[in-house]
Amino acid sequence: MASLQIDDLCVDFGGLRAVNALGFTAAEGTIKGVIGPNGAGKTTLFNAISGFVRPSRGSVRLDGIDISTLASHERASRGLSRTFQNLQLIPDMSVLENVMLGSHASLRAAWGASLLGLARREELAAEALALEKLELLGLADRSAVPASDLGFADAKLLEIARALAGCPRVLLLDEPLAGVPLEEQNRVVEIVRAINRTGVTIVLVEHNMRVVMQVCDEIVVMHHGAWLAEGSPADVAQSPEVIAAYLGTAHGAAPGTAPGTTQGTAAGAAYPQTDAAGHGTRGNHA
Amino acid sequence: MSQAFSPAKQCERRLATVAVLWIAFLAWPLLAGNDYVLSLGVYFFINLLLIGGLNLLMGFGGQISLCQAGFFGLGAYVSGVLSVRAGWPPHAGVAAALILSTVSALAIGLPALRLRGNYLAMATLGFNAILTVLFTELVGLTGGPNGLSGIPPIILAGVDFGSPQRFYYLAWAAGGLCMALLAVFLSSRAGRALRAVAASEVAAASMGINAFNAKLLAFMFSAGAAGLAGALYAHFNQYASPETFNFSASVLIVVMVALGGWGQYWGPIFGAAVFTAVPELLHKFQDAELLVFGAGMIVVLLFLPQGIAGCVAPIATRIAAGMTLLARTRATRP
Amino acid sequence: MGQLPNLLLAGLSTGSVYALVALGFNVIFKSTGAINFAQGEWVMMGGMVAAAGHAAQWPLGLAVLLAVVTVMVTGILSERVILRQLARPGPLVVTLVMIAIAICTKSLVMLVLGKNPASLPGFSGSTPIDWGGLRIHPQTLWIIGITCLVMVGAHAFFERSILGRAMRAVAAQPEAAALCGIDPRMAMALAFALAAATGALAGAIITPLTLTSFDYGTVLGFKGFSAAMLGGMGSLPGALVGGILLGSLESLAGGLISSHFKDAVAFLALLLTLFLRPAGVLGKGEVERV
Repeated sequence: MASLQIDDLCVDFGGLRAVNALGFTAAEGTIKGVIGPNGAGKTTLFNAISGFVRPSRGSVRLDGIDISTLASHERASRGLSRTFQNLQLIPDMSVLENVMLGSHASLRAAWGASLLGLARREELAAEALALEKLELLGLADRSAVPASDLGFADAKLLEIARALAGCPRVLLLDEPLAGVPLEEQNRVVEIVRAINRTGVTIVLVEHNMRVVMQVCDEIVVMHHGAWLAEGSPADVAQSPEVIAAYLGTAHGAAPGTAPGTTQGTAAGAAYPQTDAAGHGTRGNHA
Repeated sequence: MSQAFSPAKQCERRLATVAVLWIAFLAWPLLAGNDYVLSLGVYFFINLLLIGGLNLLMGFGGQISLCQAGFFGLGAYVSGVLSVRAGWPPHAGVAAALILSTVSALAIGLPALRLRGNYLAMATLGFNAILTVLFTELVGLTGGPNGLSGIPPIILAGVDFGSPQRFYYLAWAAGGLCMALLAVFLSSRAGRALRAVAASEVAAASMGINAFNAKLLAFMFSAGAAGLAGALYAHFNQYASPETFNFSASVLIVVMVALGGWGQYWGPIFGAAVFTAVPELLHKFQDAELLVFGAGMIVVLLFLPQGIAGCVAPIATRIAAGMTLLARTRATRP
Repeated sequence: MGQLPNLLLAGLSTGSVYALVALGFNVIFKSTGAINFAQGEWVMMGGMVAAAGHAAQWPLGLAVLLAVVTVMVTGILSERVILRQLARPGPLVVTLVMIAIAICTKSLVMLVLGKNPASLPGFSGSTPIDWGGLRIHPQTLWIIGITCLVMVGAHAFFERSILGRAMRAVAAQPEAAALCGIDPRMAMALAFALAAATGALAGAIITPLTLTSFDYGTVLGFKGFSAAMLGGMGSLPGALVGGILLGSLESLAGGLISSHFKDAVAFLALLLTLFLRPAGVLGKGEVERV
């Protein structure tokens, strides 16, 4: 169990500030949702947390320890796992090996030991663990096929399985539902909850507001890279700033746009109760 | 396909196949009618070290080295010069060759692999060229363009490996050891890490894999294998000359990796077989030798992206499956 | 008069040729991301074809033109007939295919034009011009002049002409360029034509000074490649600066230190550039470190 603490984080791309003085905390064992309109900087935030882009200011703390100077692979070794919005699987490796890859950091065998085959017991344990994770995600019967043979939804699940194999303390999920067919979304939601019940702190970026409202303990809203609002799902849903940001009426423009009448937009952020299925598909196009 | 896949089992299968093959290879000295044919067997194993080492870096690590022949030469000259000029016992020279080629790979790889992209190819291209100049111009040590002659044969534990018959078993053991190490390595934690780095450095990093380390170590392994091959070559041939180790030779080795099947475990076996046999066959074309070779290379790159191993492997799997089926039906028959 | 000015002048003329070869490397590197190993062979072929034309009693200018056109066609054919067949033309595979094309080119030149070294007369004779103790081979002036013209022309082409801008667009953003109606295949074919033509020209103008033969291309290709790296891969002014820097370094090292190790200078420069300034002397640090 661990907490993730972001302080005053800024990411600049040339002249563009993609993340602007953002700060929030994901408390131990909770699910924190990060939402915001497209282009709000959510994926950049994830890249900065996991070390793929270098912030120009601010810090990322894992359990109170500043990890912002570490390389991405070092952060992963400390129990910070993530999935990617656009998949990052190893296509010509088997599904099982992809998951075993996830436990790389928790295995101890040195290169020389690997070369001489001295780590057999550890290897077999990693294999068993990987199979266990595949079973959890319902992919066990496909363990032998190359990852490139999986459909998009299964590939997403495989990424989660791989992230889990590292026994993460904090798990960053980048749009786990995008591209997943409606009938399978509930399964993913159940899996996210199950992972959380084992004590893993989860930070979730997701466009499907119904799901975000259902599973998150707390939500932080980003707008133009900056912190806009934070609180429980119910609080955030009623925040006027959030409604305005999502409808693009931040400055009182666009008269006549009554909240809730715009079908198929993420207006569900404001009205989770009205959202049955329609909004859930939004992520598919994102 | 519902049959369970397991890296550990795959490793065992590969090791078992290597064992069977290598037992079969023991018959070569009996089949070879003369020393020349026998020596082709020796060169096969030496080429296997060169190609197998490079396949790890190129096929599984996604980085090209254009200095495999340079490390081959470094191994040959280090061991050769130490035994001819300094009077070292050949086996000590072989060890020195192995160490020095690995260490020089470390020195080249440390700066070059820190850069994202194919900078290793460029750095190794330069390093091979510099080595060639050194082999040719350090006449006092290397004998210059005339080559280094009088390299003594290896004597190990009182056994003189001067004759092709005896040396064959030494090369046989080195080649088998290389294939076994590769089999174990590829299905291990570090092997998976290397393959992941080649496919996606982002994915690898998110799994906690240090891409730089993985590539550097693969490069050192490939150079070490080449250095060992060079030392064996020098003491077998008892002569070494610079043009064996120039850039064109490095390119040839890269081509053989691709031809055998890059990123295919069995690729180097085919690559080494072709590399050993092709010069003999190509000589028939005389002046058109290079053209036939170049055209063949184009055909392979365009139409056989998986190399020979990629064509043979499915057939072999089918035969194996058929045989298992046959065995099963026989066993179940009353 | 010391030998220094003469050495520098010699360096300037070989450096000019390296710059032309580096230009070819850059053009193809930009459009494919690959190292074009055939570049050196095109230079050799340019020299060989021009010499053959001259041997067949063609006027010198026409022989050079013949060389440029023949090699350009070879370059275009290499791209059209071979490279275009690749299902996934990644930099690694393209580099390998170019190695194969280089081997074929070299071998074809040997089969058609023979194994003997070939020569061309100087474009304005070969009586050295004495200029205050500086002995200048007139061909040196031709080399420097033609290189300057080509460099200025290339600059104008890539900066001013629609075609040149389209090529740069494809190199920078293939998808976006395709959306604007620029055919990336066309840009690629053009890159090969340009690289082959400059290579051939370089080969034709250096031959009066150095002779040429079928096995002369590989080393020249390497030197040109080192020059391209030294100046900054993909940069046009980089090719010029890298070429002249390398030519001068080589000439000085050969004259003042030892001619034996002259060939190592280029590769030492290549390694040092990679390790100290991987983006090249003129590069702006676009190389990403991990």
